[in-house]
Amino acid sequence: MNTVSGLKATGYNFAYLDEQTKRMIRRAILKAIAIPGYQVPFASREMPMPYGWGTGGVQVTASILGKADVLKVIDQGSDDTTNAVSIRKFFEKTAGVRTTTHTGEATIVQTRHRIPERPLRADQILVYQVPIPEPLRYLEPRETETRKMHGLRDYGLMHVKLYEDIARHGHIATTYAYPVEVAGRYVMDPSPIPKFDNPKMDMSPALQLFGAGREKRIYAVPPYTHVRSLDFEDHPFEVQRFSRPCALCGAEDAYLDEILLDDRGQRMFACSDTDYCEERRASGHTGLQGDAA
Amino acid sequence: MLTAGFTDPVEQAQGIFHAVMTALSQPGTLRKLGSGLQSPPLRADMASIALSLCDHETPIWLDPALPATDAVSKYLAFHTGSPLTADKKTATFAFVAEACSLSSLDEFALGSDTYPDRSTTIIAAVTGFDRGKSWRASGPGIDGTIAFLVDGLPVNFAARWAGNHSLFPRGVDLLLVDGTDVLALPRSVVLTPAEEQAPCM
Repeated sequence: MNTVSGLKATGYNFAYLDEQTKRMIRRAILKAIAIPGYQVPFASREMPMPYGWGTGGVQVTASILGKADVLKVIDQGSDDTTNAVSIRKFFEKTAGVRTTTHTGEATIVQTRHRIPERPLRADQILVYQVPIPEPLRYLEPRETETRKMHGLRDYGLMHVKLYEDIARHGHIATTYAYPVEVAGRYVMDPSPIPKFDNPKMDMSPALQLFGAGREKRIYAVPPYTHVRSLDFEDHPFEVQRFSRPCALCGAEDAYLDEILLDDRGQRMFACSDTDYCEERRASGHTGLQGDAA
Repeated sequence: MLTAGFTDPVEQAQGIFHAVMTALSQPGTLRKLGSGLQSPPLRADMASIALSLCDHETPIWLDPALPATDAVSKYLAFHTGSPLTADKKTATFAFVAEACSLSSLDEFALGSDTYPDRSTTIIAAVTGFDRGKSWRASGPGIDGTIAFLVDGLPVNFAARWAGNHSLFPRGVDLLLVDGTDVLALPRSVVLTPAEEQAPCM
């Protein structure tokens, strides 16, 4: 599904934002890259969509986007959900850039809550939409305090939280927005991606940018940067495992969504990354319910 | 007389920003700047970075050694609206005529422990990336280590940079330009000289 520009609306600056706003966001991005994992405050703008719909990611994408870029937008791994479709249309309209659903073709991938299964390349940029950028926020509501804790590298509270998980559940029960330590310094919220995706952030060849519109923060993980999921020696970090492969494409290495099929408890598990699933099926892989697709 | 800025401000500013962003995220690699500016009163590479990233929110410190400072300040005032500052500690961007003359890095804004982003980005000119001293860098953005050449860094730069890096997350970020390319050294980078230090010039 490739869309060529032709829908471009007139009357907007390229990619909607005015040039002064782009400069301000670009400066924040440069600082974020220089201080991996540190949340740079920025003057987030009102966007023509509500907070919570990816305004931070949209502003980051608008500021880095060039005419030659090819944009892919995913929401929970899917190119076809409301959020992904609207943001893709937004940039088709205001920037006239080419969009794609194929991870391999994109130069910029804006994502809500997933990292694509196909490994990213050095010439690609992954832009995350972030609801709550502060990993310590649910433990300490005061910004003045969390800022000090980051300054002093005081992350004991986060370890207490993970320990309480173990005390209560016998294992670390955090399954998404699992805190990571970036380049041995800052503890960072990777946005609500499943912890299944955390290992993909470590030493990724692609630049990763995070935008939180309502909370007015931008942060980054440069390429080839160590991203370590917090854990304990006796309770090492582990990702989710699935007891069966994808019902459509048979993938055993992908993150699966549970899909209800009827009102009698029939369900199937299929890849959350729709492009990955489609590409696998196109190249001949098939799962138990592959024909039903 | 005032010379013109970008002919296509939207696209050219994006191009320059993209080069700087890629340089910072892959330290030690060269990125083409390609300015497209018509005879600006200061170096085209510095002018294009200024026009892409500076505005009324970013005080600029200009190296007194930069030629025709009056024409330069008028040019920057018109095209960027940035205030000029004589105080390095308040500068968001600093333009240094010769990296060789770069005095100690901690005279610039270094940010604080709580706001390390409130620091100076230094744009400094070097004489070339195809000769000179060879360096080895490692850190975020670098897969293992990377080796590169820079001609025109000051004597004792290794020690000065080590001092800057030791302040992490505080510290300055350095953009080295030679007229065509930019090479970035964010504060996160560890630098070691790959041979004995030869004094510049």
